[in-house]
This record gives sequence, C-alpha cells and structure tokens, in this order.
Amino acid sequence: MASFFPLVRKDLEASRWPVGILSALIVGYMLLIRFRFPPIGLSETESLAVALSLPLIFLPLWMIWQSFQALRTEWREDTVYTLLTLPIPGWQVISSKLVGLWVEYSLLLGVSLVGALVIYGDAVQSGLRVLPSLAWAVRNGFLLYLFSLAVLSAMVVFVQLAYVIGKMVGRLQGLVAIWTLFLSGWLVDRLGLLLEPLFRWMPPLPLHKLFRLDELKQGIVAEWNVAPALGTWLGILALFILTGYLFEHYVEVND
Amino acid sequence: MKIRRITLAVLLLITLLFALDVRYFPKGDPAQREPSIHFSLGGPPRIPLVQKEVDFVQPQGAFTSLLIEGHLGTVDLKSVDDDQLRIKAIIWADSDHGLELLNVLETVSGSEVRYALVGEAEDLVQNAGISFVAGVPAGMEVTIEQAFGEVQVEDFVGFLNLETSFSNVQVDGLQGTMRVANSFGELDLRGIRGPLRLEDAYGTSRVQLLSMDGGYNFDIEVANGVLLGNAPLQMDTARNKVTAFGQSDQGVHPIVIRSSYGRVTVNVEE
Repeated sequence: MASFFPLVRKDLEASRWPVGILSALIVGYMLLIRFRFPPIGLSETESLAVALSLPLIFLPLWMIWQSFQALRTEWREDTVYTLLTLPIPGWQVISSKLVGLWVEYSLLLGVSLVGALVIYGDAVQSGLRVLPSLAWAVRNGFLLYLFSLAVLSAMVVFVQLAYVIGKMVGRLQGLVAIWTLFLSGWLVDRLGLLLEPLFRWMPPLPLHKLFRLDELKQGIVAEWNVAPALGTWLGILALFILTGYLFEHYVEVND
Repeated sequence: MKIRRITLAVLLLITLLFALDVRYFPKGDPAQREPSIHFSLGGPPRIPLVQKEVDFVQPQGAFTSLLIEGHLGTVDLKSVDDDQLRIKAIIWADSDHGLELLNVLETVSGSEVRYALVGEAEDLVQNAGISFVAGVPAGMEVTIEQAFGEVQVEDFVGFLNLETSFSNVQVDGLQGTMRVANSFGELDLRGIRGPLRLEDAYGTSRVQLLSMDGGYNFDIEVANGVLLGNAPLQMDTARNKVTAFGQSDQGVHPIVIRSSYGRVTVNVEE
C-alpha cells in the first residue's frame, strides 16, 4: 500500500489545472447568472436552482470524461511502461485513479455548493427555512453525496474496464471500448435480476427513516427494495477486480 | 495472446447473450419493471378497495353554514336552485371490516351543519378516505377542509371558505365571497366574481377574475415567489418580496393575496 498514495498524488497533480479552471468557470457562471444576466421572471430561489443545475448536470459528464482521461494519459505520456514494470498490483493502479476522481468530484461539488452559498446567501437561507433544521439538511446532503459517490464509482469502473479491454485489441480500439461500456452496463443490470432471488430475504431499506423524512412531513413512506441492487453491485465489484487483473497482466502497451 | 483471445471470445459471447436477451426477453426492459423504490405520500392508497355511500338531505331551514371535512378523496360542490341541502358521502376503505366501522357524522350546531368521517379508532380513519358530492342552496356559507385530495367547485353562489393542503383545487364559476388558505397544492380559480382572500404557501395559484360592477382593489404580497398576470398592478420588488397594489374601476371589491414560495397568476377578464 506504500505505493498507493503516491499514485493518488500523481493523479491529483495531473488534474490540478482542469479542476482549477473548471472551478473558476463554475463560480464565474454563477456570478454571471446572479448579477449580470439574472433569469427574467424568476425569483431568487429559482435563479439559484438555475445557477446550480448546470454545474450539477455537467459534473457527471465531466467525471466520465476524466475517468477515461486518467487512463489515456498513461498511454499518451508513456508512463504506462513504468507503471507495468513497477511491483504494483493492477487493482491499486485503478483504485488510485478512482480515489483521485472522488477527490476531484468532491472538490468541484464543494466549489459549486460553497459558491452558491456565498453568491446566493439570502436565497439559500430562505431555502433552508423550508427544511426542518440545518442539521437535517447537512445530514441528508452528506447521505446524498455518499450515494452520488457510489454511482460515480460504478461509472468509473465501467469506463476503466472499457478502456482496458479496448487496449487489448489491435484495431478498432475505440469501438470495442464503447461496445464494452454498453455491454458491461447491461451485464450488471441482468446480473442484478438473476441474483435477486438470492437476496429476497433482505428487508426493504426504509429511506424515510434513513433520511428522517418524517421531520419534513408526517406520512411520507419511501422504501427501497435492495435485492436487485445487491446483485448489480456485486457485478460491479467483479468488473473492478477483472479490470485490475487485465490491466496488470494483459494490456497492450503500444497504441 | 491467449488471454486476449479469450477476452474477445467472452466479449462476443456476451454480445450474443445481449442479442438473445433483446430478442426473446423483452420483459427485461428496465422501463417495464416494477420500480425498486416505493414512495407514498400520506400513507394509505387512494384506490378505493371497498366503498359505501351515505346520503343526507336536509331542508335548508335555519341552516346558513355548511362545513365539510374531506380526507384523501374528492369534494364536489355546486349551488342548486333547490332549498334542500343534499350531501352524498362516499366512504372507502381497504377491507369490508374496516368499512363497517366507519361512518359519516352529521353534526348540527346552531345554524351550522357539519359532515366528517368518523371511525371506532383513529387509525381506521387514517387508512380510509371519503369523497363528498354536495348540492347546496345559493347564498349559503360553505367551508371545505381538505387534505390530500381534490376540491372541485362549479357554479357556486355564496360564501366559500377553503382550507386545503396537498390538494388540487379547481373552482369554475363563483359569485360571492371567497377565502382560501392553501399549502402545497395547486389552485385553479376561474370565473370568480367577488372579493377574494387567498393565503398560499408552496403552491401554484391561478386566479381568473371576471370584471364586475365596482371593480377590484388589489393588495398582493408574494414572498420568495413569482407574480404574473394581466391585473392592473403597480409592483414593487424589494429583496425577495413582490408587493403589488392596484385597482380596476372604483376598486370596491378587495382581492387580497399573501403567498410565500409560490407562483401566483392573477388575470382580470371581461
């Protein structure tokens, strides 16, 4: 594990500039919406929603691109030779990239939220008054953040597997990668359905208790039947292990 | 090279499985599956499993006021030329046994008559619903309290009080005075002739006033929301609040609207 953190640091250093520029763009966009081009006919709270929605929609797309880019850079800069000759397991290499993407995602999300808080202070305060308490908002925000990290991780695993499989063929690497990306999504979805009977014993997860929705309004019931999701997540874990194994042993170093 | 060939063979095999899946198992389509997250607001289902009807007919006599307490269902109200107060209540529950233990209570208090769902236990009422169809003589004062349902008022003449939450309210034709207190719902008030006081939070309100002798006097405040429409208003926006005043003709009939976190549209038509 001693080599893991230097790998993470290397990836974070590589993404320093893109994250810096993107953060500046997000803050600039919010300032423009707030002061220069406020949406006509919208209240300040609705304007805040407009200002936040674009970065929040863009962020997952950016993370997909970055997860692809994190591996591509190793080939482009010929550092993949060094990586493969070092005594580092493949799973550590792809995990380090995953952790680097978590940090990048958290930073950009943080910039979006703090930017909204500073630029739209009054509207955020008004919005918070609708919610039961600040502690409730922070707790649920954190839970949603964790959930989004899990979804982000799944996307990263799919992209990494697709890229590595693409590198295992001599021709049509891009097409093979795109097809693998699509197939891996389909495969884990079907795996979830197939394994669902094995996990039926699991009780539904009471989301209304987890998110304390009764503090928002009495009578809200939200339950998540986790049985199909468990098979899907097991499939994603298997793909992660497979990606590490293939990366370590069988990728084509030359383009 | 062997493992690469195996990987490609596996990829082809999965592609074949995918093709077979699409061809022979269309039910696997995620769009057709039962959702894994179940969400319900207000608890009990709105689909009536078993139901019964109870009818009440009262001569208007000394009654000047009617109060209806709705729950989950629909309240239909209409003014009639008759001098009889006709109420049809439809109770629904999730079992025959539960339905037997539920009833509509008619309470007379002075000049007011009131209808509400009652049960032998509070949870019975919580798991049931009631709809009303009411025909009332013109000129009466009617109060409707409704949560999680719908209110539909048509061609009403008199005094109407609505206290609603999480409900859709539709009024089509009203002559008289109207007072609405609403939260988390949609209000569609059309063909209104007369004074109006509307208090709304987190809702969408559309008000269509018909011009009448004496005209209207508008006093509107919308906090953290939007005010739209063609009413003759002088608007002042300060921080998150829109304050609007104005009048048509002599401004005899007051239109008072207080809204927070909502969208209000006020139109005046000939």
